Amino acid sequence: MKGYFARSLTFLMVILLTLSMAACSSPSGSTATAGQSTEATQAPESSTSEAATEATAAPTEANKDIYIAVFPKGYVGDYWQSVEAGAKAAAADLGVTITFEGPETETDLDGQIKLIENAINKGADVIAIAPLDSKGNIPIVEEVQAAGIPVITFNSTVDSDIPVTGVETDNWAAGELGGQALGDIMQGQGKYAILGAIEALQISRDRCDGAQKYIEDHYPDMEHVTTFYSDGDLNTSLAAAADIITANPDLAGIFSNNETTTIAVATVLEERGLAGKIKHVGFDATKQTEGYIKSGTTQAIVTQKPYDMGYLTVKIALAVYMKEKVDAKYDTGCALVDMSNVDSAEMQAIINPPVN
Amino acid sequence: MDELLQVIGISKEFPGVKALSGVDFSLRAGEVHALIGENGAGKSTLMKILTGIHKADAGELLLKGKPYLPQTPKYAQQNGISMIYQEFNLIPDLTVAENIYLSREPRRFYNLLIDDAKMNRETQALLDSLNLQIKPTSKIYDLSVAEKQMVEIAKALVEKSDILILDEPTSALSENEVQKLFSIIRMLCKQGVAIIYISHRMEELSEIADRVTVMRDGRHIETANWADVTIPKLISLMVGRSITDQYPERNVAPGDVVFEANGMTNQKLKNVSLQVRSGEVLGIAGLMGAGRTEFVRAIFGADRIQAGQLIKNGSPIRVKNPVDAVRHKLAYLPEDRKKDGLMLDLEVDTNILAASLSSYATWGVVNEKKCREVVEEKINDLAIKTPSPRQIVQYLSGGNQQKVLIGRWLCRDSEVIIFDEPTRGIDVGAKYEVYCLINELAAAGAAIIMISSEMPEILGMSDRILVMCEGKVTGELSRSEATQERILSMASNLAINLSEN
Amino acid sequence: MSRSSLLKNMSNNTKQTMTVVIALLVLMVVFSIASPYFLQTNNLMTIGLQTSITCITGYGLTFVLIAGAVDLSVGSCIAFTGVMCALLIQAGLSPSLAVVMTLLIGGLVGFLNAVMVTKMRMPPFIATLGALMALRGLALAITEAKPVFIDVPNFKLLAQYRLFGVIPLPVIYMLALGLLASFLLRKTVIGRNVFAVGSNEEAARLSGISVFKIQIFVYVFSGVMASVAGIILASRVTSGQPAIASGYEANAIAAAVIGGTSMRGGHGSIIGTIFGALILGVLMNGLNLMNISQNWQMFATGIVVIFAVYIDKLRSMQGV
Repeated sequence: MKGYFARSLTFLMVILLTLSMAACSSPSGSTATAGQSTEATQAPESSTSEAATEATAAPTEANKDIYIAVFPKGYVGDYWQSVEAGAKAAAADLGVTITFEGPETETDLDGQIKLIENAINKGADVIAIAPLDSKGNIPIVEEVQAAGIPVITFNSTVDSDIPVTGVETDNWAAGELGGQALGDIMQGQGKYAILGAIEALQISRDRCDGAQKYIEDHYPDMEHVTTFYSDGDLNTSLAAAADIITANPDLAGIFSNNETTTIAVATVLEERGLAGKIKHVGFDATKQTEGYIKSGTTQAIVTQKPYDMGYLTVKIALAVYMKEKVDAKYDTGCALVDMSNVDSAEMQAIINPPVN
Repeated sequence: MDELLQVIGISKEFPGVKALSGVDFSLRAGEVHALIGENGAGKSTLMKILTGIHKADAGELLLKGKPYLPQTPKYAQQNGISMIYQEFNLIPDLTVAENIYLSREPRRFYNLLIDDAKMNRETQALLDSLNLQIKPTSKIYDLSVAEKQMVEIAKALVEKSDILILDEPTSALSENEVQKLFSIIRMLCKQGVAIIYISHRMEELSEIADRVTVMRDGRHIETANWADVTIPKLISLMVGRSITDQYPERNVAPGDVVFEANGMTNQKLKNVSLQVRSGEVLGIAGLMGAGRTEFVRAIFGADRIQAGQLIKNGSPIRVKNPVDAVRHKLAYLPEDRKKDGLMLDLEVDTNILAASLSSYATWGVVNEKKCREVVEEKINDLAIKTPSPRQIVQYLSGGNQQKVLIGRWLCRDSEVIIFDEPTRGIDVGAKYEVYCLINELAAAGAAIIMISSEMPEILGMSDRILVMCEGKVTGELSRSEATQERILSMASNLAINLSEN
Repeated sequence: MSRSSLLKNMSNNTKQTMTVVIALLVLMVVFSIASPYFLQTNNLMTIGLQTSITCITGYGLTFVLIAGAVDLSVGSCIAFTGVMCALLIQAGLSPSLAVVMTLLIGGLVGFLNAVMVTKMRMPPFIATLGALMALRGLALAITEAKPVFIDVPNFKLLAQYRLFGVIPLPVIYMLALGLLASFLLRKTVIGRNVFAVGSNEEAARLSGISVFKIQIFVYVFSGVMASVAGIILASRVTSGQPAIASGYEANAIAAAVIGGTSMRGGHGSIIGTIFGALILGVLMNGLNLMNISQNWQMFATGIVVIFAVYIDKLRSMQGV
């Protein structure tokens, strides 16, 4: 029994190893093992060899000692990968050192706080946070200030005066853009529903409310059936999307406010053969959602500019450190992707950002 | 009268069993009073009544001349009666002092904190007074068995006990440690403490006991000064009943040796061996803790062994676990049929088929019809009283539960069947049925090994009797040679050769 | 013996299943009154589709629970196997081969769980909790936390195709696997021995049953079931999602317990688990149709689970 056991165990372990090798070789050479933190350190040599065109602060030897700690809401998903790419590019151009660390899920406030505390102890010079929770992040922001480290926010906000500035997509405006797109596509007529992810997030609510308000103001004949919030899990969102459609047989359009809900709605539409019959405006342009545009399931997608956001965040963080004057807020803006411009260079840069 | 404790006419009954009938007992201050008797004589029940664990049904207790009605062990303790059990009541992760003063710790700071310094000091004083080399701050798990026992005694003393009950105190002690214990006992006696000393080790009792009381079948038989009696007399008092005619006739002549276990050794077994023939009933006798169950479990592969060999039908076999054992047509009915034998919340048929299901299956799929037939057959053959084969086994009586277990092994045509206390917890009528079944199995050619703590059962059923004591085989008797006295003396490991009385 | 106590002793299993069926029917009546869309064929099919994941993982948990153990790693295993399937296809394997390999991977995960519980003698709760974390981390690590897109257009048919245009394939899988699981559990030697081991492990051991084999069997089965669920999900959303199915082990356990499987071991049934999963699915769907937020859904599900476990406790107290 013992020999048999040992042999079969070895055999199976070999299979597992082989498979993971195959799996690991597919995505572009991963540098992050846990995907949790990456350090982009650029030696001064490479930055002087490239002409640094965009940076306002000239890269100097001294910059490499500047440690900017960037904390996204999470690290799962195309969106944050793009942010990270932009941040790393800025770090390269400016010659600073950054870390980019997020918790495993976008609801793990405690996890994010722990990472920030570590950065304080490691002597970060500037801290950039994408707050998970506009109220729950207040204490840690106060802690950072107490340690004498300047704070800026990006992507979302915290209810506090401490951050010097914020780099965001105006999520309300993004919602309005989605509402406008849906109104246009539905030609101002018909019933529509909104599927949102994670009600607790201000930015999620802003997108939904922004869309709804715009439609109310500009397309008064359209009827709002419901705004339903799911919990962020893709499978649960599938159920929510399916059930909304079942409960409203004459539904003519849906607006979904993030990547997960967009995939969910598009999947259900395809499953039920309703693609095109129920209009769909989604959010977050990624390889998968691009596919929905091309297949005609989704008519338009609102996208933020995550790469730009990442880039600008690092740039502004450096400016804050240098005690330069900065604006109260920066908006990286949003864009609408549809069949007409999906293959354009600009949109492709968002969908497939140049990842280092 | 300096009778510290008087037990007058105490009776206690449990469902189906009369544990004590009108027992009288007395205890004087400063004496060591030995209490002896076979397993089931009622010694522990009597002690449980004294320490407040059970309530007597009839009779009275007088402590220092006043009526004594213990409701709980704590009450008994407060009145000066403490018992030291075989399994120690100590908490391994705490220190000696913490254990001794458990729930009575000296306090400080408005009674909120434990006064460790005071506790350790007083413990040290106590240990010194007993001449013990143990430190109050040692953790229990670091102590040896003997030291743990001493701590238990010290604990009883802190409670200012007048009466100390020791139950088999020396079973885990070396000779040196026994002497140490005795010197403490003597010291305590000089201080006026009375000791009830329960043991089967006659030689030890000779050293330490002042008086002795013999119990049998729940009754008080005799009390005497130790100096006035002999050990053989005591033993005959312990067993002195006639074996009534409650065993079926056995007319089988055993065949050849079909199974041998040689040199089995592990933590509890010291090089034990046995042989059994087909058609034979080999009884294994001994006192509790003798190692009988450990022996058969080792044979069955249920426990590991460091050395030993098994031979079946002349060829050596490897039994590393029960799967092997069953494959070699061995069967084992455990001592605790509820804990180790039956799946209590499953049905009769599931239990019967548990060991043999694969024989009624093709390609792993069970043949329901065959199973039903087999189960019905066993229920009939064994006269198992159950409303249906799907009855949950838990609801059957003890005797029928045992029959279900027998049925299980019958399905496997077992050649060597081990019964561990086959009639424990079974009423008289069912017992007879079980005996008949055992005889039938033997008559059909099986080799039977039967462990029993009931003397009459061993004598009535066995063709040969093996006696064990403390992990060794101390004797073997044929049916004609066997008497209760001989068995008991071998079980107590006495070298004395007793002649029939 | 009187008839009433006969009834009590004999058909405990059937009685338990009856309770669950009645509960399901009551729920369905309530929701069909609350929403006119509930009883539509399309919606019932949707319920089936959404229930299939919980149900299939529930089969695995049923086996493990009956054996007296637990498997907390199934949620992570769903994500991990889904990801592996996607990666294998991306690496160039044909979808059918990828599916087969993914099932093997699921079995391997189960096997490793079993090794921890048997050879390494770790308590099942701790061992599978560790596996839960390790598998999730592995899934996120090898995908760099990004979904892995499956670029094979027909692959989604595995989950999206409808038999006769009506019945989603996952419902068919759910029923077929249910038949298989029930057969294994009730009609085979190994299945019956699972009950014995769960009821009294030592007694089973002393009866010559290889407890070791039984534990390997149930854990491997659970792993394979999780991988089936993983493949179905990956097919439905045409991607391997490393973050999906977090917490689904709780749903699977809930389905099994509601359906009558006892956490002590020795009792349980597949049909019960199916109804248990349906109760959870109907609850979620009904509340969705009534536009009740998911927060309340979680609350309602929690109450149902507490209730079911309480009834299980009552049943066990009645016994021993």
